[in-house]
Amino acid sequence: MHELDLARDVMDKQLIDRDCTEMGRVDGVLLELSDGSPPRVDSFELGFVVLAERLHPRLLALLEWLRRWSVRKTARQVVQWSAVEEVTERYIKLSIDATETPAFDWEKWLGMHVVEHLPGGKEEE
Amino acid sequence: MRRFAVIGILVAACSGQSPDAKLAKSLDAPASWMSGLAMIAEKWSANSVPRAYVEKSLDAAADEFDKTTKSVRESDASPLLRNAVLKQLAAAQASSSSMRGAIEANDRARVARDSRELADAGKQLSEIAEDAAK
Amino acid sequence: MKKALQLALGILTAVGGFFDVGNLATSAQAGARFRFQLIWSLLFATILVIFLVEMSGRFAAVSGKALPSAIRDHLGFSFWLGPFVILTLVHLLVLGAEIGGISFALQLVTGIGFQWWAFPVAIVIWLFLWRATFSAIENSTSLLGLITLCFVVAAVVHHPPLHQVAAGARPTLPSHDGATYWFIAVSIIGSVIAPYLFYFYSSGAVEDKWDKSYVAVNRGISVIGMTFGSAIALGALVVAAMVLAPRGIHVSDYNQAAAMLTDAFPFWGFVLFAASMGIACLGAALEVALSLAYATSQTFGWNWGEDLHPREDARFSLTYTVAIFLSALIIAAGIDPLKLTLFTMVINAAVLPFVTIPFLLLMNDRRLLGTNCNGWFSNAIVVMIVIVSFVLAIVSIPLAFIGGT
Repeated sequence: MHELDLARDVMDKQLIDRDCTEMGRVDGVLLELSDGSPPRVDSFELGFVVLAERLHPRLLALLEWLRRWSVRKTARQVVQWSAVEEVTERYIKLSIDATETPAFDWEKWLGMHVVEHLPGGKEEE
Repeated sequence: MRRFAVIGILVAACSGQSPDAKLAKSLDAPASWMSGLAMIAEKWSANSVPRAYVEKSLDAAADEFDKTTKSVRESDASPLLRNAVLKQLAAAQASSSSMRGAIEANDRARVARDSRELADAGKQLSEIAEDAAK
Repeated sequence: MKKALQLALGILTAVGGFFDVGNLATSAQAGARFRFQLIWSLLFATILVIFLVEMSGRFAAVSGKALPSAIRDHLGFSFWLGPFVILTLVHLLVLGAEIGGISFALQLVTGIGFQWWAFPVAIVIWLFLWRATFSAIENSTSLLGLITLCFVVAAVVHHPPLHQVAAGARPTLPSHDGATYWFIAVSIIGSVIAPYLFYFYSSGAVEDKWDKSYVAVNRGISVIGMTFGSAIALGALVVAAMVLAPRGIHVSDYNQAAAMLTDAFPFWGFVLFAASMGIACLGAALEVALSLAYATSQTFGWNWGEDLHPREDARFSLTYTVAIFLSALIIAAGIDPLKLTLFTMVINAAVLPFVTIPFLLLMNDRRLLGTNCNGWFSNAIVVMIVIVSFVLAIVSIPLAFIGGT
């Protein structure tokens, strides 16, 4: 792909990590502005907070308040554009391990604290 | 906005109904229950349905009859209509409680009689409702 | 050869999975109150649902994306959030209605009140989803779902007057109870074109790893499967028209419909009714719960898949877990399952624009679908569905208040 349409090809796209695990979507895109040169895509952001920001400042405030109960380490996960390996029609592939990022904090917490305690939730031998 | 306008018009049309017509509309469920009980009893006599089901149906129908009786008493409809409806409801209540006893006693003849009475009451109530809706 | 087998299996799945609590309730009411007069709305809805199911399958096969995922991808989060929230609430209502249907079927055979069954039923649904794989669920419940064909057999046994049945295929104005007539017509449409169908079907196609080669299989499944599926609903309508209507039974409560098969099958009729209702609703409940979890996971880009162990997609698994228990609460609270069903079916019809407009946009995206884009005919149909769904959205809400019983 030589031309990338930020709104169409990047925004809201499914992200997968190096093992093809789904790790969320592109909730926001950050551009780097510097004098004299055109803006450059620096990174993108993931997280409910980023989504809330797109909708309404009140919603953002509400989510910031709810964060006190969140197990996620950082509300805004920033992924550098340099981590992008491949952009296709279906997904954007990254060179990182999703399970080590905040995108999986909730997943891991729920797996450990809820699923484990439900019948059949333990890994089968 | 338009959606609200339509709702408004319909609600207005609804509340503009005469008390008789409004009462007539509420008779659908009890009339349906009377005919329904008649069929259920007939099927019980033919050993096609279990007793527990008949009893559950009698319970549900009794609730409906009580509810309608109460709302008819509170309605602003003409006394003539109200009395006619109450008469059928009372008949249905009597037949269905008699039927409950008859089923416990396994008295098929009495069940058949109560069933006929209920079907009759249902038919009459539907006719009353139809006339009143006009 | 493998494709032929998949086609056969897909058709069985569609037939077995078609009939649910909404179809049963609306068909029984339509037949009982208006005999054959409302057959047209069932046929009309069937034609529309064939087109929409075919499109959602084709979309998934060609683009590799399920609908909720594609809508967020291409139309954006802000566009999708409103419909997503509304459709999630509708899913919960439908799930509640299906749980109500299973609970009522259990009440029929045990005599224990339906509200007591809500949580045991919820646990069974949950265990199914928690332990089984996608294809196991799909194949077992839909093969069992073929028991609902007993409605078709019963309809044939009753020898309905065929010219009257055929006359019902033509839309006519009611001679009595106008509001109820339109209420039932709309609820039939809502029960056939249920929004969860498209999310479930397209996500299922992704789970089954469909690719472009499935476009023909998909067409066969949607046309044949949906047609036969709606034949079951037609069967129920005809039986109600032959058995309940002459007796003046209007089905204001599920109990009044429960004996409707005993004219045709005096000994087995009652059990067949309970079994059909229980199994059909169980199959649908599994689909609705999965559909809700699919839509949520895809919206936020979580890892999802019914074939994964719950530990590998905790958020996905816990989404359907929470949904099942929330929906069971509605029934445990003692809300009448029939009233809940009819109300929900009308709401289904009212939210159709949220389903159909994304369809129209996505199915015409050449960059996604290439030569498998919609042709002019399919587009004409979708445009018509969009218009019809707008009209339905506007009329159905007031009807829910004045037409219902």
